[in-house]
Amino acid sequence: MSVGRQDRVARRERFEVLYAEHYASIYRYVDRRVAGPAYEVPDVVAEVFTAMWRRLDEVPDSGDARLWLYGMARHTLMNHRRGRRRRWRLLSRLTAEATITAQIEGAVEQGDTAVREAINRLPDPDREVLQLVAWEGCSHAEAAQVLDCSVNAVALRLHKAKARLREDPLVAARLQSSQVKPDRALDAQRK
Amino acid sequence: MDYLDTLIQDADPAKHLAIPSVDPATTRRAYHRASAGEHRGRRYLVPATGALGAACAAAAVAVVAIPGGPTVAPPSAAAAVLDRAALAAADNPTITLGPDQYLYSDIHTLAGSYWQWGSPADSAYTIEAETVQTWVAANGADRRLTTYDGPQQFATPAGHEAWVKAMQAGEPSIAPQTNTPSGQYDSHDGPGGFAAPDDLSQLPTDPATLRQLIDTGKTGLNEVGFPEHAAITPAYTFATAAEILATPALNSSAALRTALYDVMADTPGIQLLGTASDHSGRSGTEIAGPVGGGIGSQTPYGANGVRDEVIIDPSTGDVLEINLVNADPSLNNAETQSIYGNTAGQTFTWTDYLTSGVVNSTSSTPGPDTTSGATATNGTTDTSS
Repeated sequence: MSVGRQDRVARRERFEVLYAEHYASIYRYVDRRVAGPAYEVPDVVAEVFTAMWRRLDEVPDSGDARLWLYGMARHTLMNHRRGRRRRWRLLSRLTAEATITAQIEGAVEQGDTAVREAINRLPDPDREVLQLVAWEGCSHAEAAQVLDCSVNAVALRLHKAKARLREDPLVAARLQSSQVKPDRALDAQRK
Repeated sequence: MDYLDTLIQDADPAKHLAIPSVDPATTRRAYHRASAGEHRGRRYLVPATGALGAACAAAAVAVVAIPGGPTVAPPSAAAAVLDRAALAAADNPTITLGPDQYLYSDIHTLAGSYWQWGSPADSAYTIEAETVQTWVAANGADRRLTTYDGPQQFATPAGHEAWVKAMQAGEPSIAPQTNTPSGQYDSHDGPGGFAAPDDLSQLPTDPATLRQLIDTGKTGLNEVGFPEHAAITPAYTFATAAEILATPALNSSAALRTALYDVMADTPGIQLLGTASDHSGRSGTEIAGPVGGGIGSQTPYGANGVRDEVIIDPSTGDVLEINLVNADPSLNNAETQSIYGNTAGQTFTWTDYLTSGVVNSTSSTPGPDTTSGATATNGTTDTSS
């Protein structure tokens, strides 16, 4: 077997190992963030792994591959959203502002959806940190690696994200109904 | 964890997400589509797209609920060998045929012949190794030169006895067919005298579509037999895909070769037999198809206990040999057993695919291929010109 063929066989094997190992993680990551309908998730996941194939030599070994793929998925989603953003931006904002007052009373019953929408209204950097830590299970250091920023920046964004959520009328209504005092357990756990 | 953290966790849209399972076949398809995307722009790893696709995926795709993640089965060793062969085969050149050119091929094969010159008792099944050289032009003009390696053997003692008896009686229909001083049989046909070489350009390169075409007997290829009166089995599908890969033909693309290997790799029941040598002394890796009858044209009637065993050169992706082996004699019917014999492990036929290439006359053969080892393969040069 020629060197070229050996190289391609090795690349293919690496692709398949990475694909099998990280497909579920990337699928969940994309599903949590995709701007369009759910049926677009497989398309975006496909684009992530196609991009991984093109840049296979850059994928780090060991567990860092997952973080590298998160970064790739993030860029892919940004590109994916770009085409949608122009026509959806105004509609989304109007919808959010028009319904927010009406939703407060029903926030407790709406539960997960209300909080999810509040998370979606967070500024992008803060939301991404929150999602990486809370949903993807990343440590602060890992989130910093995905976002190519410092650990302190992650901690700051996470703090800001949670502060904004507490100020969100829908989330505040849920928190008040719980009568549970907040603590910083999640922050401490992730550090 | 405070209550806000609990709310955030509960708001995770993927908390109860069902993710399509990742099995070896899915992973292979993902690879093919990702690598194809290098040259073809945006490609999707998951075919189910759009509203219909989403509905189909939800209804039909095996899913694994979170938590737990997908179940990843270890890839079949046989499938892994076939995948490697597919990669190597993708590099093989495509054969095209110009005017006044011939597609040359030669095979070394154990040919089986069934003879009957009277009642059913006056019959014999003989096997004899022979080398068949074929030159075929696009218009069907051809030359076929058969060289008998001998000696002729009989599948059953009863057949041998009947043959000897007939020879002693001067039965003319079992005289050896030779027409050259050296004992060969040489035949020539003008245009239209023989089937033109298969043109594979119209075959689909999607493995699922290709499999469907094979299983419905609609490949339209000369060399592929179709068991009109028998059930289509995975054994037939496997053997047919191997046969298409092995048979020299025109316009076979890298994508088609990959798809054919995919069809073989996705066949349930395939086994890796290990390193093996073919009857021409070449070494390769042997894969067994499932038991259940092979290609209709070469499988003895009622031989449901046979399987095709394929020797592949993993470095070139070439199919070196296809054997038809009696794997489970208990599944063969009485007719098969009486005519062909019924010993476990018995080889009914084997065919070694030796050389192929384009030449300019029916008296020339392709030159040696210095890039692929012992045998010349597709696209080699004509030594006569």
